[in-house]
Amino acid sequence: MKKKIYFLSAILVALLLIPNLVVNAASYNYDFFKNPVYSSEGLAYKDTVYFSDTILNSTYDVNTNPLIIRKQKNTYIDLSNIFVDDATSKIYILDGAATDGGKTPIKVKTSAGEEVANISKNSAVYILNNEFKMEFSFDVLRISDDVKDTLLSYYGLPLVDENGNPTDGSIFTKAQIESTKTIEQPDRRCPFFLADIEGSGVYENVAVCYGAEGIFVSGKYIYLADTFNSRIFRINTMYNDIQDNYVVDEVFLTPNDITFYQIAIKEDQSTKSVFLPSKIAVDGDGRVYTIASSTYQGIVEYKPNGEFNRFIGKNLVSKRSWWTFLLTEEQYNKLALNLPSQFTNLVIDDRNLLYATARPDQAATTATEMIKLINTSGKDVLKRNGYVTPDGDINYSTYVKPAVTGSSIFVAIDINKSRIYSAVDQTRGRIFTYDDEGNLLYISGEQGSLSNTLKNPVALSYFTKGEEEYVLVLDKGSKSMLVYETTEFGKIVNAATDLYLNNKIAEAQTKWEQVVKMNSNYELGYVGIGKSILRDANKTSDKDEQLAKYKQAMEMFELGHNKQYYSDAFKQYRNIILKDNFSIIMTGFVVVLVAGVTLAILNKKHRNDVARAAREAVENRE
Amino acid sequence: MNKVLTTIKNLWKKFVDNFIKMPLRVMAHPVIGYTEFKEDKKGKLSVAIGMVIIYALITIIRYNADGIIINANDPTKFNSLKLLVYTIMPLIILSVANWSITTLMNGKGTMKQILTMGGYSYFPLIFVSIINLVLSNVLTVSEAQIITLLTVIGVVLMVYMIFMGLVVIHEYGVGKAITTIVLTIIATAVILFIALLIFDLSSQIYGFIYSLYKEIVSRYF
Repeated sequence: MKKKIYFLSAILVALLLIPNLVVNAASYNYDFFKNPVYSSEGLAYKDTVYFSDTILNSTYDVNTNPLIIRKQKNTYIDLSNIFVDDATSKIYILDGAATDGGKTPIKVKTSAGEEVANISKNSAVYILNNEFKMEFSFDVLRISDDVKDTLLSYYGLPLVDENGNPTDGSIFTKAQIESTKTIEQPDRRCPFFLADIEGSGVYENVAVCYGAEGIFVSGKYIYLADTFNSRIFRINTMYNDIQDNYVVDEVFLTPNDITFYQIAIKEDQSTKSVFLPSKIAVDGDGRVYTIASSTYQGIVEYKPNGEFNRFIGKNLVSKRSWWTFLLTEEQYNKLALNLPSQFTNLVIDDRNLLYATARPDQAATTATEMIKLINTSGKDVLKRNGYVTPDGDINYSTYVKPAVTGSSIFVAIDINKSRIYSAVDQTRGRIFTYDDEGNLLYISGEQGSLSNTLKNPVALSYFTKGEEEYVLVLDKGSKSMLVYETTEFGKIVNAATDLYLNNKIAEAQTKWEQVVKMNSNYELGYVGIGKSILRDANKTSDKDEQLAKYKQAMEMFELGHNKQYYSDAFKQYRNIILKDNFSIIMTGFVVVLVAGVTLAILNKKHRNDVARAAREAVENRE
Repeated sequence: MNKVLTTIKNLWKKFVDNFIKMPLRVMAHPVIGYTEFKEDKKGKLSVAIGMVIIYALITIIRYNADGIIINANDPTKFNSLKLLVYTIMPLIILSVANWSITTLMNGKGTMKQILTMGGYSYFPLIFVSIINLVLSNVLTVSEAQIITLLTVIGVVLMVYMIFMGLVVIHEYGVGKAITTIVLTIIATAVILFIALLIFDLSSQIYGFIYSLYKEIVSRYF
């Protein structure tokens, strides 16, 4: 009886274990023939960080921080972006809160005197340490006097009151402070206001963000794209050289360009697009790059002093179908506008080059060039040398309904120190990782509503902790951050790529050999091994060894379907063979030539003889 | 023993005469060649069919045996029947289309002659294919242009042979030959359209009968 129970419980345990073993979806990759083939996983799900938990369970005491006014327990999280500062290894999470329903009371000084205003829809930034515990957060921004003056003059407000004193936030009404309209609208909310945030009776000029979507950290500065308020703030975290003194000391306003609605001229807003800065990136010199939604001119570039500089990296429009010349002008005008695709995200690397993701072109038949590497002259210089181009899934259905249809749509991208970049696809919740040459290294992640799947990914970032490298993906749908760790396989592939990038080809060979042992479908691995063998072969002086190595390299390149390198190895191989057997080949050639000529002459002579004999025979008869 | 040797020798001579000498003669002197081909009955349908089969075989071999520098075929998708059909079908469809046009336009050629002529015109392609098969295994990527050049030469010779064949066999002038070629292409399009229509309709009828069968089986059995 006891034995039976043991046996049954063992079966039960085994049954419970099976789903855990099965649940890991088989990862795949694309081979030379663009067929999906099974491949090992490069990134594996590790953990999910839920923000309500993080905020509630952290040791960080919200109440001691004057810069946060939000009621923490009812936080309505509307995650929009993530940034990892590699220098301090802190994680900055941006909560756009564009749909926030809650209202937070705050003591403000208005034109009617001291009042309590209810602020809503104010974006917040959460700063997490490398244990994913909250260290600090803020949603109210102190602004410096320079910024206050810039805002006042930009919005055409008086700089001094009737007594000749400089104006402050008390010129606004309570309604303006509470308004949830965007700042560019006629009965707009105020650009800043006067509030008592410390509760000590001291009123300071502060600003709040609305629907913020972009965050970037560079040294002591935090850049924040205040999307619905059409501006970008530069927050100095060490204002007046005081640690953790967060003050906005520069503001980047609507570019002075004909594309955008200019509040100073009071243009007709229906014909102009309002500047909505979405994702931002800042280069080493402090130039700010931003993607403005609903514009097609490209990425906006600001000078470090806040002036608009130029547009770079415009997406091109695909050609109309050839038959449109048949249409009349009226019909032609009725066609949908052929607009260039929009950028979705951007990130800057250590060479000051921009990695940008764009939506697929609607008018194009195949989705291409969705990841771009934009150099300083605005050209796309991304290498696309892989078996498949870096455009996510290559084989996908466009019409079978129960399956997810359509091409991948990349919404976020990040690059690591070995110039490996990962982009997350919104269509199927997958993370595609490519190397510098454009080879697809591995595909990970899947879509769904489980805690280990992505529902609506919006941002992605690499995160290094010690030796381990993680990929953090922010999921707006499940209001959480998914942590992916690099698997053993992924680590070896990354190491091999890094070694090859640093010209350590022999060391890379051992790594690639490990890769191929783990996953014999990995064609890139064979090319890596082949390259190293080819290099060895070129160095050796012993002819037999050289020949064997060239042969081996050729086999590897054939397995990896790389005809260019195969040809390089084969050329050397062929030369050695030809050199060795030159005498035989040449002799053979000469012999054949001489024999052929002799035979031809003999044949002709023979035919002439026969003809002459025949002629003579005829003559004799006559 | 001697007898066997003589038979082999005869067979070889026949093969060389029919499969190499005659096509070469037609290629080098199309007007004389095709006249002999037609009047002296030197063109044989069996030889033409043999040519097509040889070409199909070479195509099938080349699918896997071509060198890596030009071979982008997926070995897992290798289908010899499909390749066979893809080499033979164009000849049959084009011959039928051409025959149906030329009979209406006072062409003198018979269906058999057109088919035979089409088969013979595979000769340069066969030659070039064999050379390319060898070359693709001994050349590098930078030298692969030679293969492209040879292929182009082969196709041009084939087109030349077909064109001259049409002129001689149907006893046309150049202008009329070109007209019939254009009409042949249109006729081919019509044939393909009808073929597609038939395939689609037959699959629909099959679907209908199948669902009827299913209905009956589910209801009564």
